Amino acid sequence: MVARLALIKELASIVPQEVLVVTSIGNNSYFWAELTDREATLFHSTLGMCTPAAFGLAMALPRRKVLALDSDGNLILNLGVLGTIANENPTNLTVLVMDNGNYLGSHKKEPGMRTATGGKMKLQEVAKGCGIASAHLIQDVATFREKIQMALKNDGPHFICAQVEALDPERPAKTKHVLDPRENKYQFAKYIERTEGVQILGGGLGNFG
Amino acid sequence: MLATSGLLVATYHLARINILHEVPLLIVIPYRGDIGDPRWMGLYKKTTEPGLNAMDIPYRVVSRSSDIVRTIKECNESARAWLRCIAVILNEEALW
Repeated sequence: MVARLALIKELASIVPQEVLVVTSIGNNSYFWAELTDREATLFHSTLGMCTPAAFGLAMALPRRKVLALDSDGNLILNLGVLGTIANENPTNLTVLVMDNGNYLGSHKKEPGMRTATGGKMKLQEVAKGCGIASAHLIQDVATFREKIQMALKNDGPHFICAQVEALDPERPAKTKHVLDPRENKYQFAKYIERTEGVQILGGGLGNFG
Repeated sequence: MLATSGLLVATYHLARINILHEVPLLIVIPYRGDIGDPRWMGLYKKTTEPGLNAMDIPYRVVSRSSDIVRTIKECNESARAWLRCIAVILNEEALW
């Protein structure tokens, strides 16, 4: 078992700026925002929306690497997306799940109600059963680094389940203003428009591309 | 494109996308259970339009097949211009 903070620090040192990262709500978003300074992040995806949003981005932008920084409770709500990912086969997508085995562990002093992964469920086996061949369980920083580097280098889709501690006693100091969903939307969309040469948000005057 | 039941399943996500993120999205929904539907799905008469209103999602009801394409185009243009979700719900000749 390893701390979420240790893995997100490692992730921040590995992931290139141009990789699109979609983060789930809670400490995945908060830690990633504190530890990185990048435009290519879509924050605050909640209750089943993180991996599906990353999947949509991966399909729309097949030349870009896309990484979902998801969590167990979040993914379990919309687990069917793993079957869709396997069938559509976005080779540029990596799903990374911080699996702490409980709900609301991010902000509690005691673990919340356990998720199914706190019992018998093994998400990497679910992913394999859905048809994602590159599905892995990691429990330490060194293996985490190795699997993330492998995923960024090789075609996927990849699924990495990181078994992390139930609580996050260590956390980075709050030093930054984490963008709210509307600010983040404009920043993220403008970044993609600029780097991909596409139009996403109209100016309200018609004549969309 | 959602089933009528799918609108109810997706309410949390749609409310968040529309009200919090303000992301443009065109939603096309069959209006199962509307008056005249020969099936037994009256549940959706009670939930479809009130659900869209509760999520602050404007919509048009399309009854004639000849209006489907024009309405979808108009709703799509407005969704993108307003950065909001807009729904097209199909009933009568356009559906059954």
